[in-house]
Order: sequence, then structure tokens, then C-alpha cells
Amino acid sequence: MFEFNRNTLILAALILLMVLIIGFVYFSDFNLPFGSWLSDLAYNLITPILNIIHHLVENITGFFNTLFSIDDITREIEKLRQENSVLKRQILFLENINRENKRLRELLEFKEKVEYQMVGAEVIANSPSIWEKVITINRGRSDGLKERMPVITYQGYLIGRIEELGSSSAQVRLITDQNFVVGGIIARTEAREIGLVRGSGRDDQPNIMDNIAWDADIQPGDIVLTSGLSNNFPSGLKIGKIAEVEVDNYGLSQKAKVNLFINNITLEEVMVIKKFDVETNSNFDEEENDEKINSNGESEENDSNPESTNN
Amino acid sequence: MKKYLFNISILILLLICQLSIAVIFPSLKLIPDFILIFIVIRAIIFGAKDAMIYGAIGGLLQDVFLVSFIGLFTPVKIAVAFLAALLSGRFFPENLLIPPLGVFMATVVHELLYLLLKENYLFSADYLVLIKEIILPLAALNALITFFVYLIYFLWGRWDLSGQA
Repeated sequence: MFEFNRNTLILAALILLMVLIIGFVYFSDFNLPFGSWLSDLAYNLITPILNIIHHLVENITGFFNTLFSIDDITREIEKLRQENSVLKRQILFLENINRENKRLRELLEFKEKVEYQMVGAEVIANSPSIWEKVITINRGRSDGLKERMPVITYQGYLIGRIEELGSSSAQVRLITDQNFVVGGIIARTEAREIGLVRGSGRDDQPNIMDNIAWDADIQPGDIVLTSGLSNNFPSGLKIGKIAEVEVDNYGLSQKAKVNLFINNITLEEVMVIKKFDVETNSNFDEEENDEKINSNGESEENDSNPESTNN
Repeated sequence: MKKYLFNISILILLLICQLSIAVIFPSLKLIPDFILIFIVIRAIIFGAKDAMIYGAIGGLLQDVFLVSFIGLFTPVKIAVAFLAALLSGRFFPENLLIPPLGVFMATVVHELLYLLLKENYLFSADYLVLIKEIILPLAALNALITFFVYLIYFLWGRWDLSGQA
């Protein structure tokens, strides 16, 4: 039976003191050297286990998927072969356009956008809390990752940014997290409105794009891309689609609900953008395993905005 | 010492389960808090001191995967362990519904304390909606898991006693 006696009071006082110390350390961002060493140790010890579990689960599910869906796989291969031949034809066509684009850029003395330097990673863990939208990936400091690097899907959708780093793993704060803010721009030729896209803190709710000019021409269905106005994210990464626009700040501005593209996909493999500087003559070291995409292609697609025209 | 190492290993295992479950089952909307369940069951069975120690360790482990060292989970889990220990010794072990009820209440208190201490949620969150759509379903899920865990623990205890006899 619980009784309030002298020992209980001492225990309560000790708890209060402990909570106050912990609260002080948390709210004052006081950095305990031993603490960070200890947390690094725990993090670096646990993440390899998560990696092993991830690979184990992947192998088991892969084995059973292959076993029970051979017919589907054969059909998929056939379909992919057809798609491949269509895409090869499109590449030839786009190469011509690219050459023409380059020539025109040179004529107009436009700054040429450099290629992204990227590294692929797998998601090995999710957030330990329902309120924090964080994932852990199996690439870290040893792979050349740094804090605040943008993370995208293979389709080019913005996922988030790197928050904490371990030796061979990293935590990515997702775009759905309440602490996440990124500059967004509407991808329509006649309406290049900007605003701030904020995380809703929930996977089943749209993000909010606010600080939009009161007279901005924004319509449901418009695609939102990263504006690239800050140095943290490159421009042209796809964020989501406008679902609803409403008046904000008593008519002084507008805000919009943005349905994120990443809500429709399962995050299993991601890409970390290691470098995205907008310079003409920047020369970065090419690494063998790094994959690259040409941001010229991205911006072309953004300007023409095929998604908007489809809607 | 052996006991502490064993229980810390269990906490690490539970954390790994908590981190991996959404990767293995991506369609899951709610992630059960296995560490909280463990701490509350320990608080009910073994009392405040024991549960608070593991509350601190479990909270620290959880915080490592969110912030650099000490985060909100450490104080919140210690406080919840202390509150859950108020139930300790107040019911017969045969009463299988008390631990799930304790975990249900502890989950509600845990999540609300976390939200109140989290500055970006404190003033902007719609608490009624969050309670209805997230906290209560999560508390129910945790309580359901606790029921089966406590049932296994209880039956195992009975079997162990009868085996000794």
C-alpha cells in the first residue's frame, strides 16, 4: 500500500530535483560532453542492429514475394521492357532539346545549374514517438553526410532534412514534422507565388503553406516546389499539390493546404543530396557510388508544369 | 547488477521493436509504446524506485533517437513511472484488468505531459482532436497489449509456483 511518509517526501524531492535538472539541460540546450558521448555510443550500437533486422525482414519478405508472385513478376518484366523502349525513344528526343537548351542558355549567358551529388540510403527505423516525424537511414558521417542536407525520394519528392548524424546512420526529420519549415513556390508559368510550407505533425493531414500574398493566384491542383530561396534546399524539388486555399490574417495573406506527394508512397529507399550549389564552374569530386540527376531537367519540367496542365 | 543488465537489454529490445514495427508494417497508423508498457507494469508490480530507474533509462534510450541526449521522454517517463507506482500493492495479482487500465491512464498522462512540454505543440495543438484521434486509440492499443503481456506474466508465475510445489 502506498503511504506518504518521510521516505516518500525525500523520494518526491529527489524526483523534482531530477526533473528540474533534466528540464534545465533540455530547455537551455546545455551540452554535456559525457552525455553526447554516451548518446552517440548508444545510437551507434543500436543502429547496426536495426540495419541487420531491416535486411533480415527484407530478405524474408523478398523471398516470399518472389515465391508467390512469379506470374506477376513475368508480366511486370514484360511491361517494363515496353516502358523501357518508350523511354529510350523519349531520351533521344530530350537529348536534342537539352542540346538546344544549353545552346540558348549560352547565348543568353544564363547561369548553368550544376548536377546534384547524391547518395542512396535505406530507411531502417521509424520514429520512437507518435509526435515526432523522424526516420533513421543507413548512411552516416562515414558516407560524407552532414547535418541539414536535404533528403528526397527516387521520384524527386522532398522528404526532409538530416537532423542528427551517427557514424553509419542518420536521423531525417520529415516534412510532416511540426518543426519542419521549407520555402515553397507554385509551379505554374503565370503564377510563381511563394510561401512557407509547414509540417502538420500528422501523416494523415495536409501540410500548411502560409505567408502567401493576399492577391496571389493560387488554385487547388497547383504543384508546390521548393523555392530554393534559402541555402538549405535546392529549388525545384516537388513537395505536394494544393488542396484548398483560404484567407489568413483577416485577409492580409492567404494560406493553403498542401497534400504531400510522400503521403502516397512508402518510404523505403531515399536519396540524400550532398551538394546542390548553383555555380557555373564548381567542380566537385565525383564518387563512384554517387548517383546524379540533372537539375536542368527538373527545372524544365517545373516551368512547363505538366502536372498542372493535366488537371 | 545482473538484474539491471537484463532489464536494460529488455528495454533495448523493446526500443528496437518500437523503431522497426512501422518499417515492417508501413500501414500502421499507431505505434505502441512498448517501453511505457514495460515501465508501468514494473511500477505496478515492483513499486516506484525500480520503475523510475527503468523509466529514466527507457526515456534516455528513446530520446537518443530524437535528440542528441536528454529530451522530453526522460522526465516524462520518470514522472509516469512514479504515478503508476501509486497503484502498486493496491490490487490482487489475479485482477487482470488493473494493469491494462493503469497503462491506459499512463498513456493518456504520458502523451498529454509530452504535448504540454513540447513548445511547438503547446499553444498550437487542438487537444480535443488529438485526444480523440491519437491519444485514446493509442492508449487503447497499449492497454490491449498490456492485457496479453500481463496475462502471460500471470500464468507464467502460476506455472512457476506450481512447478516448484
